[in-house]
Amino acid sequence: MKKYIVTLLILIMSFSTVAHDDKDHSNKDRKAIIDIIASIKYGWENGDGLPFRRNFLDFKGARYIEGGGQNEGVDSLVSHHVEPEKDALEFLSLDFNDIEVHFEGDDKSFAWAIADTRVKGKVNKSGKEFDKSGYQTFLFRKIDGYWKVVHSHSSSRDYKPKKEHKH
Amino acid sequence: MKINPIIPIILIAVFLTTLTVSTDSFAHSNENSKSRVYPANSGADTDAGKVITLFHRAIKKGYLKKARSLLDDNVNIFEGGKVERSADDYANHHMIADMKYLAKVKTEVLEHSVKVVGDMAYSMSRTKSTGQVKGKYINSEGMESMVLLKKEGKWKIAHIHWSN
Repeated sequence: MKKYIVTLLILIMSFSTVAHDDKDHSNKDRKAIIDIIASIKYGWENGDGLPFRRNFLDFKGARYIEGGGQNEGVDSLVSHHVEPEKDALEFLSLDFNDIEVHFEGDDKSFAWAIADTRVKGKVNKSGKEFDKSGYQTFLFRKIDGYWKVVHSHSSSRDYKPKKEHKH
Repeated sequence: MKINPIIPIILIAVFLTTLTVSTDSFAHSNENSKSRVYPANSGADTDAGKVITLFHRAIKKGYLKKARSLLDDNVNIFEGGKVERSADDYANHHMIADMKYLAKVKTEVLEHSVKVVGDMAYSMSRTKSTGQVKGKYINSEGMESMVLLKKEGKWKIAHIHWSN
């Protein structure tokens, strides 16, 4: 009888360890993706292409969509959008809110993240300020243990505060 | 009664103009009703790709039930700065407006690519829309990103991001 109880206890302990490992693993992956999104925010705000070059996968067919136009590959995104905005804008602030991350596949090697966005800035030349709200989609693949952005799509419109319902 | 010789010429000109305009309108409405043509090797012929092409066809033709059936119940749809958080939300709000709009424009697929990774797939496409909607001429490029998941053997669209 003792033997059975010990075997049962060992089984329960090993199951809980596996479950704990899975949860740890998932938290680690989630944190890695949130960190990448934070570095993308930093990159946009500071006109720094490095976070994009480090975290975006450059491959034939890569498409990164920004404001109704698409960039073919990381170089196009960085050299046509991220870096020039540093000189063109007096300031830029970008916020990703309500980030949802979903992991897919048996080995959880694919993830997609969606977020609400708010972007504010001021154009140097015209002095015009803008305030836009919108949405962001990121698709990720885990390659050699590192998460890489394989596609991104952002769109926004002029910010309009939500009207309060009057009862 | 003497007929001014210029009158038959004017009548013939008016007749020919009317004929040209109506033939042109007919050709346009035919163009608008056509389904999208996807580039070769885009992945549109994969099982996941077929769900995308069926969805495009359903919203083009106004098949509400069919379009709804291809969406995951919890689909997130980003469109024109707005969001729909479920298939029923979309079916009850913007889907009908999208169908009315798409029925009036010709949509040309400029780029399309579907990647299948196990039980998930993603798709990117760029299209050009031309036509006339509510008196306004449309000539714009649109972008579409999609995520599809295979659940219980069936591919469903779990996320759409549309922008132009």
